Amino acid sequence: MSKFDTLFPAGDPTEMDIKFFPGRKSQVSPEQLRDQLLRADAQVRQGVAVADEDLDGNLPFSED
Amino acid sequence: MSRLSALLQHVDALRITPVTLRRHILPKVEELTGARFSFVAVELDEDISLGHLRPIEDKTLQNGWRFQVRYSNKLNLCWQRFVQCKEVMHAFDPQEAKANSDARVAQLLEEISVPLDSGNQTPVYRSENPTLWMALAVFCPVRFRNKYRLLYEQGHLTPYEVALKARIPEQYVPAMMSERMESAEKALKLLR
Repeated sequence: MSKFDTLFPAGDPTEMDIKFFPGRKSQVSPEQLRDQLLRADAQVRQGVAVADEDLDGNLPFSED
Repeated sequence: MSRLSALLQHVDALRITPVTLRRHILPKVEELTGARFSFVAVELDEDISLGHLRPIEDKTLQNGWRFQVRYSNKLNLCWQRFVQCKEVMHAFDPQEAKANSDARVAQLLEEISVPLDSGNQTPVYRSENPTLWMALAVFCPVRFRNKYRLLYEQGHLTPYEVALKARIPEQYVPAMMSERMESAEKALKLLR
């Protein structure tokens, strides 16, 4: 079984996608990137990840 | 009109600064693409990655899943917005650019680690850079760029001051104010 089987939930995968925002180091290994994703998975599972529904919604803005 | 053109037209017509992801961008992206998103702050090693996008199960939705954007909980608001928005822009990726199988994810990780020369890059890897430009284009629409470009070019506004107005990371201001921004936007509108 591939290490990535569990990354995709049940359902039609056509529109699914996995992408990364680069970090500050240019040289990273595939394993390091994969570990970041799995680390985040674990935090979500354990309930320690902080859900953010407001995002930047409270940022004041002005009309031109 | 492409879906990206519709989004850019939407944010430009709002005539507001700064454009926010929550109120102004996300609802329109969800309307145009049908994708649904949630966001979580997590502990990440910022040397390796500032965030990522992945699908997660959501039985409340008809298709059974949504996108989740994970971002480093150490980022300031401008960086958070930028990382979140860049990942959201992947909803516009064409089919061939989606890492939607084990093999494509494995290939993407390999290519991020050791990029191939431009002629041999896969569409999945090639989709990473355009979304940076797309995030700049929605946070800094044409109206914003036209308003501040001359002041910026003449040195009356520093990159930091422009960044503060748009609430984006300062390091992206020179690119956003350059001619590359206009050509990138034009090309992307045709493709997305």
